Amino acid sequence: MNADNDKKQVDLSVNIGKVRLANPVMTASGTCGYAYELRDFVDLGRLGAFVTKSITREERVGNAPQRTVETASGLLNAIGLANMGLDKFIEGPLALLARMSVPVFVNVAGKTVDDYIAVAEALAGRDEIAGLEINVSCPNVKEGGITFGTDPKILADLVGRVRQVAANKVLIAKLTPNVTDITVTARAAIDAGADALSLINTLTGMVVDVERRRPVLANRTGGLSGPAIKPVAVHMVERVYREVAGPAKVPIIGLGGIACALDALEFIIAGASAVGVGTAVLTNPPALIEVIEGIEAYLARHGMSSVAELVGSLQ
Amino acid sequence: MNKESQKKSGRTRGQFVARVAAQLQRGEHHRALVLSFCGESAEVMACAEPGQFVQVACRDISRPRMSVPQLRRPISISGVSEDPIALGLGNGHCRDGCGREVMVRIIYRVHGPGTNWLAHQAVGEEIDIIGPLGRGFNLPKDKDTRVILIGGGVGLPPMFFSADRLKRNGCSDVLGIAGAATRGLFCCDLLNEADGIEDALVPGKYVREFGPSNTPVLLAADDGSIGFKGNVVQALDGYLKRNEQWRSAEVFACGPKPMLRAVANFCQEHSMNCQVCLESYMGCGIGVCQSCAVAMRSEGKDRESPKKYRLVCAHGPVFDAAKVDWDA
Ligand SMILES: Cc1cc2nc3c(=O)[nH]c(=O)nc-3n(C[C@H](O)[C@H](O)[C@H](O)COP(=O)(O)OP(=O)(O)OC[C@H]3O[C@@H](n4cnc5c(N)ncnc54)[C@H](O)[C@@H]3O)c2cc1C
Ligand SMILES: Cc1cc2nc3c(=O)[nH]c(=O)nc-3n(C[C@H](O)[C@H](O)[C@H](O)COP(=O)(O)O)c2cc1C
Ligand code: FES
Repeated sequence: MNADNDKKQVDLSVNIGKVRLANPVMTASGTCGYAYELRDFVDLGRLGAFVTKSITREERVGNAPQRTVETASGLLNAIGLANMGLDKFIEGPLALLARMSVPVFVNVAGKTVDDYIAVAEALAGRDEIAGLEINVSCPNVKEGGITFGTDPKILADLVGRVRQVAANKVLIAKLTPNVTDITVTARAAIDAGADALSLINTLTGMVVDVERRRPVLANRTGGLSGPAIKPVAVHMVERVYREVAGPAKVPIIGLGGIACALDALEFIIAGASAVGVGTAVLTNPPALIEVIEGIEAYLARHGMSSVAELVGSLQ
Repeated sequence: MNKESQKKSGRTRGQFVARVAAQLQRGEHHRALVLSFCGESAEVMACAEPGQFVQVACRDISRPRMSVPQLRRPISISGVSEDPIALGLGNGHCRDGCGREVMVRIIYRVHGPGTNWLAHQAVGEEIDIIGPLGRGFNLPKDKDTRVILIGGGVGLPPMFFSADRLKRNGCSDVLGIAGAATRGLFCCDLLNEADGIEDALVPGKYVREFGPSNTPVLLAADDGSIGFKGNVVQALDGYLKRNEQWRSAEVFACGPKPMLRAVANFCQEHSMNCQVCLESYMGCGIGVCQSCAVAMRSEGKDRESPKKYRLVCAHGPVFDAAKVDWDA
């Protein structure tokens, strides 16, 4: 009951570009489908925002199985951006997403700049969505993807061109950790007009089946997520916040291994304005809500009136 | 009854806390775990269909920082009942003050970290379950349809549940074929009668779990340590040669992929309808992550056309055997 009184005093809202989120917790692309799949398990209306699975211009059937394997405190996946493609997304899931009470970000992926532009253009005119998250970092697709996120010039060109066609939408650049210096790509994305940065996407890895002497995943490599990558992600958020995004006043959405409020708080203290929960949802969809409630309780316990006070408060 | 209780709760699946009602050894390497569900979860679980599975959290999920193993483990439902006796227990297993109680049995092989954790959960302990998930077997509408239930290794459990439901629907011509590499690998309770089998191609009451449905069964062990010496397809072939009237039967099969492929081929050659219950590596079990894809035969003539994948957790785990791309 006391906690209820405390709750009223805590302001959990955050701004991502011009969009206001009621709280800092969102879904991580690819781990929550298009929302309707989760309706029996969690009330997504309580989230700060919803982020869809990556959408590409054409349908993608995805990689051959096996697509996923568990690792020590982690998950390696090579889904291959399996998705229904832009047209079917607009006909089907988007109509359902429109009924959601929280801001929706559509994650966009592509093989060429034109692919991204085509999807961004088609979605820019849709009132149902608050913004786009561009996935420049999916390490699974052999044809490309990875190059957008690792070369600052190519990245800046992509972000800049999506910015032009979707001028009215909040634009989030989702960065890959598979680079030598994440501040370089972070700066490139911000300079090209990104309203916010998401970091991190998955870390490239491999698991070997020693009996067959083959990689376990048919794609050979995959992207590592889950608690195993959290310290890497927190560090990247901290560096990008301190060196680039903080001074530029560009919000960071921190993600990578968040499974509970304590994990999310690490990211926020390190400089993230909002957080994404991914792999943890696969096992426990209500983790999303537990993170929101835990952040709220923490702020109350520390006598803070808003989550903004906590952002980047690392000593 | 099914439809009604579904209507009341308004959903067909959910995340629930179940309580361990019993944990029993089955064969040398398997365990049967009977889980008790109360309240809304009982209503939802009562509507489970054979072939469906549950996603079992093999850890205390309220402590996410103790996170091994991460993923839930998918396990087939092998029986659902309000009557503990139907699941091989005594009456003493009922819970007090629970309202409607529904028990769900799963049978699993103790294998790696997940199933080892499960094996350590004692009566009274709580386990977090998501289910029932996926699409089950299409049960024949016509009561006179013959059905052959083929289970290999740890593919047998969904066949017990299928037999129960077929019986409830009034289907009386049901035959079980249980296969394993050797006697100790049958994931069921073999009754004493199984020791004195004279003619291995004459089905009998050899398996306790087939008892409530009164389903006769053929046992097939690769090494001949019990029942028919050979695999389930050879046993099926031998049985059909003696019992021509069963050639019109529908086949339900679950087991390792090479076995399923052999059953599917046999059924195709003999123009028998066959539904298979497939496994694949799962991330979520609820259709959000796209981990569990299996390749289907492309319908177009174009050989170059990209593979068509279906999700085992959402579109399956039961598929028409003729549609599966067994060469993928
Ligand atoms: C639809 C379905 C129904 C199943 N029904 C049963 C059943 O009734 N009884 C039974 O004993 N087993 C069943 N299985 C297999 C069961 O899921 C695995 O035995 C279990 O996951 C092993 O986990 P572990 O931690 O003990 O072993 P691990 O050492 O972690 O894994 C052993 C093997 O189990 C499989 N496995 C592990 N994790 C997963 C996962 N997340 N998804 C799918 N497979 C996995 C892999 O093939 C792995 O090589 C079913 C699987 C599926 C997909
Ligand atoms: C199964 C799976 C699918 C994913 N698909 C996508 C995707 O389509 N697009 C994307 O930008 N990120 C994708 N990701 C990455 C996540 O959004 C997230 O960045 C990463 O998993 C780290 O967060 P986590 O540890 O909380 O999962 C995927 C991750 C997983 C585990
Ligand atoms: S296991 Fe996640 S979609 Fe099937």
